[in-house]
Amino acid sequence: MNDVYELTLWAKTILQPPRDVQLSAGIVLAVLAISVTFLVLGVLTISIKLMSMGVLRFTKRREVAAPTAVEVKPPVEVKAAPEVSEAEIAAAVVAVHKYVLERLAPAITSSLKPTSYWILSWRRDACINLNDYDYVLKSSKLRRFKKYLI
Amino acid sequence: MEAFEAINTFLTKTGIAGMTPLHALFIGIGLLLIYLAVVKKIEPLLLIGIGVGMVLANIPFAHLASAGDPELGIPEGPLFTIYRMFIHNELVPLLIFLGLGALTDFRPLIAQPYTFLLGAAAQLGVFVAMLGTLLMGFNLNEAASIGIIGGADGPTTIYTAIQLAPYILGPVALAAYTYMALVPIIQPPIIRLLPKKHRAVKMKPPREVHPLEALLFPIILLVVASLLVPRATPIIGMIALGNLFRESGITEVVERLSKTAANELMNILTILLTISVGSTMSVDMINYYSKITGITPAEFLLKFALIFVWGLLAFAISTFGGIILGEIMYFLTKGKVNPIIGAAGVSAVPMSARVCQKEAQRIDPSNYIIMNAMGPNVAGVIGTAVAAGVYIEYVLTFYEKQLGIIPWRIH
Repeated sequence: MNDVYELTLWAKTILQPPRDVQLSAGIVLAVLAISVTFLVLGVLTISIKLMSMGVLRFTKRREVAAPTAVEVKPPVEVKAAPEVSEAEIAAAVVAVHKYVLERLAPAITSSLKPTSYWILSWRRDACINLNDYDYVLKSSKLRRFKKYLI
Repeated sequence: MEAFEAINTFLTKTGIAGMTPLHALFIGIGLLLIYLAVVKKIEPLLLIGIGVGMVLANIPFAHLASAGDPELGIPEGPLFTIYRMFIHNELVPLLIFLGLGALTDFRPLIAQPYTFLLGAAAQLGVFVAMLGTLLMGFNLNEAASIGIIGGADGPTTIYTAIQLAPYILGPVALAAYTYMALVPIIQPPIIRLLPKKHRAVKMKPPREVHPLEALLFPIILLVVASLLVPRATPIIGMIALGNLFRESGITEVVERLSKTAANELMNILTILLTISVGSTMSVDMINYYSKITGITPAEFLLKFALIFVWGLLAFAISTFGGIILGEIMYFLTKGKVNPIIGAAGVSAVPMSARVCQKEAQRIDPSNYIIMNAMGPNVAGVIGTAVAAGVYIEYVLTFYEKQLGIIPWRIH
């Protein structure tokens, strides 16, 4: 803050060069600025054009170099699926059901804390967001799964 | 009796008692800006902050924009602190360029590099307005700052004004943003000077740009522009960096940086910038710069009004310059270029490109030139940055040579 205070005491009037000097400098500046702006943008025009030509030629060459013929692989014989009895299917369903129950079991006892929407919104590992959560709460079918969420 | 004195002292310390006509005028302008932003939806993103900054900075006795006075026991105001820490040292305008780079798609320009020249031609107002204001009596440093308004690029205008004439930063920035919002009103009458046949030209849409071209563009831009105009390096460098974030797109990390630069960072910077710019149009700030430069409140108000007049002229002349080169290109290409796209060379992105599209469709509703117009539009941003670099370099060198110091600079 000190420098600001010092500054206020530093100069009381603005210093300016003589008017005619400023006018002639202004004319030079205008001419210089027009020329430099066109020069820079002109150089950029040429540079970008050359760069585009180079890139397009490079990518075209790579496309040409790449193999164009599609390799045709010999057909793979597909074995016929084995016959599965109804009893086997029923056993598989039961096994999957049991597996799912086992997987969910730790979640039941994991937490009885009250739901924190803030934490919940950040639980990306649960792959769930607030909308899903609201849906679960409102859905009668899914309500019984609510306890698994947190 | 004591109670009466206490009440009397309290009343003399209220904002109403301390209100001067200048305070009232600035507060009125601030409220008008808020009205225009909220009700008329004119540049609400910017004018709300500027308007509120103006109102807050002009509340009597609050001294929010005061540079502080140890003799009177007035501490530095918070708005002045923001101005000093973020604006006066050019930090915020430069970071805004980073965001602009991350936001801008240069593909239409890469596909039609000749439109760079339209971006250069549409800087005509920058040069004419500089000469006009100089002849009218402004000093060279002020004239250069006012001229840049014609480039129609808010952050470049602010950057130049901070470097060359910080005491008129408020009016210059306000004029730039106001006229940028008024592009749909300013440009059409000038575009309609072109013959109908020329305005009806249908252009081929720009070709598809290879990702490698988009990636190389900011690097070439940085090298070429910085080597030719080193003073433009801060602006061009930041644009190039932001655009490199955007175009690299290789890893999630860079994408994250690009999104941050284009969104969250940009929003924070806009808040800081607009409030600070608003606070520069205050009694405290005029008093502060009065001590440094000798500018009086009456002189400030006169300059304020003239800056608005010249800002409008600069915009109009820049549009004219763009369509003149567009017309030349129309003849050179035997009618392949629609000269309307020259008007998009003023860098009000993407507003002026949209105006060009609208004007082309007035003649032929099936004509779509917006992608062609985006080329000169983004070229205009680079053109204005280059012109600003030349102005800053030349004016600072001129003052250093003539006076040995930069009179408006904090030392």
